[in-house]
Amino acid sequence: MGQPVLRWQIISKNPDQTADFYCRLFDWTINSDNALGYRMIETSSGRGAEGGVWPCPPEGQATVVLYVAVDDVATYVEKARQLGGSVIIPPQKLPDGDEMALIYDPEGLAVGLFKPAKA
Amino acid sequence: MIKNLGERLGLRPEEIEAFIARERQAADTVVSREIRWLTMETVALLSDGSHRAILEMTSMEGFVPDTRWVARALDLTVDEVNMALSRLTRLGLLEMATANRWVDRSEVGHSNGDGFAQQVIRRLSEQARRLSASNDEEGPGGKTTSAARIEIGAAQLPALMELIDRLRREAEDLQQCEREYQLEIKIAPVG
Repeated sequence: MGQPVLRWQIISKNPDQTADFYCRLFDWTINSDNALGYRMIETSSGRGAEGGVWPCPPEGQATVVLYVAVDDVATYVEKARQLGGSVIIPPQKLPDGDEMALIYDPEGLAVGLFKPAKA
Repeated sequence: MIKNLGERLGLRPEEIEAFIARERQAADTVVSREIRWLTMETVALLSDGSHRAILEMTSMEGFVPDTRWVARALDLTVDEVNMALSRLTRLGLLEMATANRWVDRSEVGHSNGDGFAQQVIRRLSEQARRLSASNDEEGPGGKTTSAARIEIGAAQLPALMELIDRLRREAEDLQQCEREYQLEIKIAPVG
């Protein structure tokens, strides 16, 4: 069985405005009560992947990143390297216990690897 | 921008030229875009003291690996801290090693401002080199091929010749009976 897309992330230069836009558009709510102050989006629909909004630095570009669930982040980073990808952010253990890394695929698209704390 | 930054950091002209050449060489490629981004992140990282402050905090007693706590301690917004964390982790200067431990990987004393700047430039250089290497391609028969073009000034030619000579001597030590790959280096006028 393949690895599912578990999360998506909007990287925005104006995260508050972006969050406000989507909340008004889709009746989503934002919960930032976590150690990174991360704007987790709650759709309350019971379906689909969860998402969030992360601030984009001035030198970056607004984009959307998909996070694929994996059981071992470091292993998949290495696998991505072997397949022609490159590493943007090496594996990190986030304060809430989740683990993530960010890679580029060979086309230059950023893709996240994610292992939730409660796997 | 690279020239100005390099001069401010006291890099030698040939080192600055090497950065610029690498930047031009990969123009309009994924690698180029990434190197440009890394360079801009490096500039942001060096011009904003909050990055160093975050690194310093990680070894302080009572440090809490929580963006909100860091933001309060440094009088920054949560977004500013998170953007700084993105830059620091991306350049390998900070590692979130466990859920409750962030590790300063800058390998430099915090009283040493120049050392920090040099370390940041070194990380940029390492990442740029790694990215260029990741641009290697798989050729016919699944064999790896790699090519690079570097433009230099006439004044740097003697240093380059010396480097090639050293590489040639070291490569000769690697020679084996099986002849599967070859390394070819050519110097020619640009044009």
